[in-house]
Amino acid sequence: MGILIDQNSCNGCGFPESETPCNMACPGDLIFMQSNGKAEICCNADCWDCCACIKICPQQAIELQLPFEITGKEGSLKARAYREKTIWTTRDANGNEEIFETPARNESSLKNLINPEEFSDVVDSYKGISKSFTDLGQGI
Amino acid sequence: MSFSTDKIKIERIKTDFLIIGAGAAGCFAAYEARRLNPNIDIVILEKAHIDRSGCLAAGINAINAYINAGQSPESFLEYVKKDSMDLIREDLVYSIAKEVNHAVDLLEEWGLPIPKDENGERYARGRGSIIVQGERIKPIIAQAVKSTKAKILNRVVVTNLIKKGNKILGAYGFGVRDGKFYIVEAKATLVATGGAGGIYKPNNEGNARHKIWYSPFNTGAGYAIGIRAGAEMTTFEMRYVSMRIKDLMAPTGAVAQGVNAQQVNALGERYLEERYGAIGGRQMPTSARLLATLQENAEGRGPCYLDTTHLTKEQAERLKAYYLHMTPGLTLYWSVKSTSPNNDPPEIVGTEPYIVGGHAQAGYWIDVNRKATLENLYAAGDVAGGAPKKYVSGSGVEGMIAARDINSKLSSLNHEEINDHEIKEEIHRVFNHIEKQNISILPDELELRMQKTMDDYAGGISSGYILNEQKLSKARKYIKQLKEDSKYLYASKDGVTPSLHELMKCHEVIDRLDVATVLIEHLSYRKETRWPIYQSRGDFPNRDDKNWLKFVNSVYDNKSGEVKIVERECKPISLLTAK
Repeated sequence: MGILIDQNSCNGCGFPESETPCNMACPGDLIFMQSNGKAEICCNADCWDCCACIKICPQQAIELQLPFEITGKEGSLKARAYREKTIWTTRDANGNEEIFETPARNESSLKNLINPEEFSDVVDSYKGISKSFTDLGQGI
Repeated sequence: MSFSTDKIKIERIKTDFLIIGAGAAGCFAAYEARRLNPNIDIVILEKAHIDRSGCLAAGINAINAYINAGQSPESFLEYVKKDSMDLIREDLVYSIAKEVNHAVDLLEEWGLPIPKDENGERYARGRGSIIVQGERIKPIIAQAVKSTKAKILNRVVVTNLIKKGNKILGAYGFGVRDGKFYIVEAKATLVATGGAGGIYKPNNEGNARHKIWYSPFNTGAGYAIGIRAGAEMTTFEMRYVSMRIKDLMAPTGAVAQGVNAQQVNALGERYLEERYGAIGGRQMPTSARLLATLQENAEGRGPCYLDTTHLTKEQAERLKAYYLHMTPGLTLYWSVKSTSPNNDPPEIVGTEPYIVGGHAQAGYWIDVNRKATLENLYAAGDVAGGAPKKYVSGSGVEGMIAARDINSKLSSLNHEEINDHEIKEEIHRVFNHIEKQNISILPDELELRMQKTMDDYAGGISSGYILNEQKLSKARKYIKQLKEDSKYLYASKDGVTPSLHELMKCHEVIDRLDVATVLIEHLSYRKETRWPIYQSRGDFPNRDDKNWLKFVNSVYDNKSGEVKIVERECKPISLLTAK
């Protein structure tokens, strides 16, 4: 399987008045809005595991799960996109978590040309997570 | 047939410059066109959403066409030529080599994080590659395009080019969210879509079927519209098969070059050096490294690994984080198994074959300005032929080159009247699949059968990628039959309710059948083995420079369904004069 959208956490992001982030982001056109206003994936076998929807969901309602035929047991990946970084959490079958942080973007020379509203890939409510970023340049 | 084309809402747009596909090539083209000409009107048609479409949707952790210190555009050209068995369009590759670093500078300006050492140098990963922290690369490129105020139409599936005589007048498409039929008339059109995945049966099945290396949403539309319009195509027979990390099909560069992991077999032997020294050892061409790996398996010394057991625990953790920039599923894979690369080295296998000009060289036959063989039509990136190993940065360069030529000729180009009857025909061709007929085939069913046919008879994984004339003639016969059957496609998942999403999937199968039709003729025509694995003929196992150091090109006749093969000369450029 690909993603799991927690139907209790999903709040529909104001659908149908506004386009919802997960539905907008999916490169495979796989996420649709149900009549109850919540998002769902139409065909998990078609998911590429790109995590675009997971990173952008303001409710953190979406997680990545690997297909049973590949890993054989449960575990999940969650992520959240902030302006300058993405925070990732993996969880194994026993509930052990690992947190990763990856840099996302630097200040752009185009910043004066673009309305900040147009940065549609970011969840803005970042409050800070303590684990610091490891520089990946060295040793890799 | 009760379906009426009158029900479909039509959206008509006129522009100077139409870009099909908002990936690296298309976005750089829009950026360059606007930079050169503040008044040019640009329309971009994108099947998904520009922020997260195509190959770059998940991100990337390296840029693999780059001139590092000590290298030069000339050495880049030499490397690509050697790795592609001497048959490349040197003029195209050299024009890319001269500008890849400029493309990377632009990406950095736009906000892409590129780590640097204490001297301010970008980190080299192998001779022609640098490390980037590119999880957000696609939104970053998208922002640059949004700053140009180009008109971006997301969720529009392009279905055909608009053609009059030998001239391209724009493109048709349909909105996968709004259900409208789009007619975009343009003075010049750039095809900049991705290549074609999903033609062959993939490594995984069932719920894991889209755990493939290449984007499963890149289904060859850019090739198919050119094929149907009669544009000349080149070198489809150089397929791309890549060595990848088993199960998640994640790229290996981060491991092989990034942490210098050696290929080892089940006995722990570094088999490239120990057993295949005669064909180059570790310096052998890319496809030969996979060939050696298959050979190890065939002789009972599998599985093979990329040996990462020398990593410290900290390095292994960094490697896991590094993959989050490109294949986050692999990081999860290690976590779920409660292992790490330092104690669980990745197994390596070969993927199914892809048709992709950014890695191999299948694509439109173009001149050095990226102009195709039809008037006012250009191609760049994965769909542009003759220039392998261009990847993201090279695709961007090709987009910019095309934009410059289009801009310089714009004042002499015009719109032309489109025949109403043709529009009606295309609307019917596109939308008739939302009506159920007495026989109905679902897009998933036809896709499976196409993939099985190609796997069985056109050199898929199950036959060790080996081709021969007898099997290819079966592939030809069956794919022709499937093309016939495609008229019964019903845009539905359950066989009851039609949807626009499934209509898109119908056209994704139709497009790939056209790509497969051309591919089979290319594979059949080249009577030698030039690129082992990519193109391995069991009946012509040797490379034959005397007769085959030339391009195999094709032109498709959409009326008769015939593929005409034409040969083109391979012309080396003189680097002394090119400098």
